[in-house]
Order: sequence, then structure tokens, then C-alpha cells
Amino acid sequence: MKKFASLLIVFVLVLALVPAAMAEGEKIAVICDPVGVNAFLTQVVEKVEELAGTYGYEYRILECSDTDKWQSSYDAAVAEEYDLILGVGWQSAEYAAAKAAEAGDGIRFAVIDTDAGSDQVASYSYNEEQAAYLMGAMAGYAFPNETKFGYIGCFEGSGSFKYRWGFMEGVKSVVPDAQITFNYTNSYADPAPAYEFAKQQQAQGCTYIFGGAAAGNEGIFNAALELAQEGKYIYSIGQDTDMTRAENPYILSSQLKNTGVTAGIIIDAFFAGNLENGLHVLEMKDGAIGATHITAEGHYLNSDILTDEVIAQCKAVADAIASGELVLEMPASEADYTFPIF
Amino acid sequence: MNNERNGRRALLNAVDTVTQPLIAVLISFLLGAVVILVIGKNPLLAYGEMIRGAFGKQVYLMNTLKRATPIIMGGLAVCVAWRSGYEAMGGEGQMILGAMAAALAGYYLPGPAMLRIPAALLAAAVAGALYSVLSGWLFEKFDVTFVISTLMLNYIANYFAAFLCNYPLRDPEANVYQMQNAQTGKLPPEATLPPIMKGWVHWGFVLAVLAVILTWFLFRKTSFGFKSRMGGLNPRFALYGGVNARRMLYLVMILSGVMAGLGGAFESLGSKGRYVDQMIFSTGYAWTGMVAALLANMNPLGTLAASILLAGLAVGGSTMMLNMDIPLEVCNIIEGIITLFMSARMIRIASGNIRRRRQAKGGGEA
Repeated sequence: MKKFASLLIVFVLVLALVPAAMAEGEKIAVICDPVGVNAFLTQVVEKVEELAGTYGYEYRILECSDTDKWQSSYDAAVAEEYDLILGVGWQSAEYAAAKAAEAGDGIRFAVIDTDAGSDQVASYSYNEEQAAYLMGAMAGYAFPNETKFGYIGCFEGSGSFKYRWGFMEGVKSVVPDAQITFNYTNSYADPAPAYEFAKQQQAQGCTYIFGGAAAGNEGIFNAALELAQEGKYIYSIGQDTDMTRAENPYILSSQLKNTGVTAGIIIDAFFAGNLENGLHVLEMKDGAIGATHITAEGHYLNSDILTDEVIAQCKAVADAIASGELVLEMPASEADYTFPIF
Repeated sequence: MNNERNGRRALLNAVDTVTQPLIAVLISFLLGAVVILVIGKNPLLAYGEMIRGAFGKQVYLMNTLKRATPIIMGGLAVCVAWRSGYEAMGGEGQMILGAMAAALAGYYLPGPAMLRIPAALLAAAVAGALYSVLSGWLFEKFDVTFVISTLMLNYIANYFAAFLCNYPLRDPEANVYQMQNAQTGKLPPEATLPPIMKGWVHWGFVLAVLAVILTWFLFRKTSFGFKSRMGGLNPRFALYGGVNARRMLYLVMILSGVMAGLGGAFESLGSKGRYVDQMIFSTGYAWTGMVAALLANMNPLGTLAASILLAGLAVGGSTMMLNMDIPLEVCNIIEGIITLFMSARMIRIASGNIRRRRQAKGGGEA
């Protein structure tokens, strides 16, 4: 027992005496959910990695596996004196605002995809409903004879309502008697429920399913491939980055939300010394949101479905949104909005 | 002679109680070191960063104690129920409802801090107790095992709370760019548990330590501890001895639920300042509390120490990841290994309790 206790004490003392690893130069901390294959986050990580070569800074990605680790990650990044702390996702808003108030001017804070509500934090958010509307219009133009459309999202709630509202309004603008059914995977990364929901929605009569399940969209894409072998066809879209590929022609497009571009804007501004605090809202006209084949090139175009005519119609919608000719005004809350559901 | 033998057995038990968790922790750290080596990092440096990140600066230590607070309460909930022979795993659901009840009471009730905070804590205690009693009632009336009822009730509580903070009780002050923030309204200062001193952990930690002492006292120094254990382990014998097992079941469930509910309240009133969707579910406080209680062999004082250790693992992981570029998952691996090492003991406790109850119900059959 004595030997064991002695061994344990020595072990702990040795560990406690080891000095901390110190870094030199500018340091950037990115605080986010676990990255995995979630394009919303991989875009940021890739951009931060890319720009590290340009500016020569050191960076760390702090993946928060639970809500409490957001706070401890912010505390650690401040305590370790990182120069720019970049939070990605809505959970970062409150901690960024609180730490910015404590830390003073020495450390810069920025958040992506939320509003920290602080004049000490640079907040970058998006009007995603514009791109979702475009995807809905695309569904209507591509399948004008369909009236049943599907939607598979991550979590039910106000966060996903932007997407669902935009999509439904877009569909309705082309197919006035459209109906919708929707399901949620309760995850940003689980393709299994998305796969099952896609098959169920196909059985309910949907040909076009809006893929809003983040990395879980792979489940919809796999279901489309399997169903095609049985002579049943469904078509879907990806999220955030271009997901179109020749091996899966059922992915028609992607609703683009370029968080990588946003991270680049923030880091460039930080090193240029003109990163401005406050809320910056990025829209279709800024190029931060859009759609593959409409506002940006894609890897693969299924021209049987997205014909030149369909693409031209969608581009007209995108132009109208970007120019301000078509203004989308969301209802204040989901409760104020009704849409035919089947 | 008998006294001497009993004394030696007690000493051996005490040594076993202390050494088994320590060995489990040490072995899990050694196995974790292998994982760190595999990813090409120095385990000593990494563990050094982890310990520094958990206890090496005031802000880190306070974060560790803050994270430990709901874990301690979850551990106490397990201690109370399991020591009494009920393998309830509903701490998570009770903690969720406690956190939500406290957040709502704190947000919507008027009045000064001296009224709002006690009212919010009371609401949390009541919510946790009622939800705990529900599983006790299912057990008593319909023989629904605690494992099944409490696990299912955890999911129901989480989804119910998610519904509330996504829809009817979502932060009314959120703007259109904060629409995805699934959380209730921000609590005013008079409804939050303040820090003990500037830069220190909130008062919830002190209340959790008081709860540890109270639980220890209840089980060691009052007849309640003896009766509850008797009622759970052998209801017939307890009845023969004048103990109302049914009453004890509900008292134990209430006490366990109060502990868990208050754990949730400390988190929403002290740490988050509101209810945030998944704040209890994603953090696994109740499950970590169960691990802490198992590490401490259901001893409340040991649960306190084990909770701080496990919280330190999680908090230190952030600094380890920052300075060593090691994935936070390594911390989760170590925690998982500890759970694995202790699971043999958990199975022994659980199977022993079930066997004893069957024997009591079936008149002594094996």
C-alpha cells in the first residue's frame, strides 16, 4: 500500500511539474462543435489551416463535445492568451460576449453563424432563408407536376425554421398547391435516421427531399442510390458545400453557406487591423450563401433534371433576391406560419 | 477474538474501498498514456497540461469546481437510491426538469434575490422529487424495474425540455440571427447564484458540499439511513422490524430526486444563467455522477472527491487540446476506461440487490 501510494504521489508530482508548452507569434483558437465530416465546420478548419500558411500564425481547433465545454474552452483560450478567438455556431455567442467584456482589448473575438449581441465581438451571420427559398424554387421548377415535397432537418425548432420556411415559400412560389412532410434526425452527423426518413418520405409520394440534415444528408443520398435500383427515384440536395458528384446523380445541388469564406474574411480583417465588431449579415449578394449550379459551379450536373431552362429560371430567382427585387420577410415565429402538411 | 476478526475485516474493506478506485484511476491513466503515445504525443507533457488545465490556475480550478457541482449532486442522487437498494438511473431526467424549473421560476417570478433564488431552488427540488417519485410509483404499483422506467423517463424529460426552450419558452429577447439559440430567457442578476467571490465558483458548489455532508450524516448518524437500506434490501425483514418499506421507498426517491433536481438548478442558476437545450443531456452530468458514486463505493464524501477528479479530467482536456493538440476524445477514453474498470463492482452491487429482493419476495428462493 505504501509503495503504491508513493508511486502515485511521484507520478502526479512529475506530471504537475512539467512546464506548459509555449507558442510564439500570433495564435488563433477556433471553438466549435466536434468537426467530423460536417461541412459547416470543415470549411472553417480548412480555411484556417490554409491561411496559417499565408500569415504564419499558430492555430488550435477546440472541439466542444458538450455545452459546458464551450465555456471551459473560451476560458482556456483566454487564459492561454490567444490573439483571436473564433467561435463557430450559436453556442459561442454568449461566451464570446462574456469573455470579451472581461478580457479587454488584448484579445479579439469573432463568431460565425450567430449574433453575440455585443459591440466587443465581430458577429457574422447569414440570411439562409434566401438560399433555402432558392432550393424550394428549384424543386418546383424541376418537378412542376409534383405536389408532395419532403424535408429532412437536424433539429426541430427555431434554428431550422429559417430553412424550412425558405424552402416551403420557394416551392409555393412555383407550385401553389404544394404540400410538405418533414422529419428531424436530432443530430448534425447521423445518417441512419436520415436514410430511414428518406425511404419513408419516398413511400409517402415525395420525389424531391430537401436535405437539411448536415452530415446526416449522406443517409438521404444512400437511400436515393438504393431506391434507384428498385426503380424508385428521389432527388435531394446537400448543405453548406458542393456535394454534387457523378457517382450519385440524385444529388441535384447544394445549399451553400460558405463558412470558410467567412472565416477568411475575419482572419484577413484581423491581420489587416480592420476587423470591426458588431453584427455583419451576409446574404446572397455577398456570395456567402447560394446554390450549386445557380450561384456557383458544381462538381456534377444532372442535366436531365436541372435542364438549362430550370437553371435559367432559378438564376432569375437568385438575381431577384440578390438585387433586392425579391424581399423575403420571415414571420416573427413559427407559430405565426401555416403551410399545408401531409 | 471475534472483535479482532471483525476489526480486521473492516480494515480490509476500507483498504479495498480506497485502493480499488485508485488502482482503476492509475490503470486508466496508464492506458490513456498508450493512446497518447499512439497519436505521437508525450504522455507526461499531455497529462501535465491536463492537470494544469484542471487545477493549475484559478480560472481552471474554478471551472473544475463549477463542472463538478452538478456531478456531485448526480452522484449523491445515486448514492441515496443505490445505498437503499434501488438501482435508479433517472438522475438525468430529474436534473433536466430541475434545471428547467429553476430557470423558469428565476425568469418569471418577481421579487428580490432573497426570494427568487430560494423559490427557484424549491421549484427544482419539487420537480426532481416528483419525477423521481413517478419511477418509484411505477415500481411499486406495476413492478416496472427502475432501470427501464428511469432510462425512459430521462429521454422524455430531455425532449420535453427541448420542446419548451425551442417553442413556448424560448428566449423572448432573441433576434432573427439568434433564432437557432434553443434556450430560455437570460436570468437577471437577482435570479442567479452569484460567485462566492469575484472570479470564484458560484454558491451552488458550497450548497453541493453541504448536501454531501447532509447525506453522509443521514446515512451514518440517523435511523433513516439504516431503515432505508433495510427497506430496499429486504422489505419483508424491514416490515418484520417495524420499517414501512413503502414509505421508505418514496422517501428515498424524493431525497434522490431532490438531489438531482438541485444539481440541475445549480447549473442553470449558477453556470448558464438560463436553460440551454441539451445542457444536461450532452454533458452527461448525471452519468458522470454515477461513475463518481461508483468510484467512491457509494460514499458521499468519496463521491465529492471523485466528482472533482472527473470534472478535472473534462476541464483539463480543453487546455491539453489547446497546448498539445490532442483530441478531447482522449479524455473521454480515460473516463470510459475508469467506468469499465468500475463496472464489475456496479454489476456486483446491482445483481446482489436484485437477488436479495427476489429472495425476500419469493420466501428465500435462490
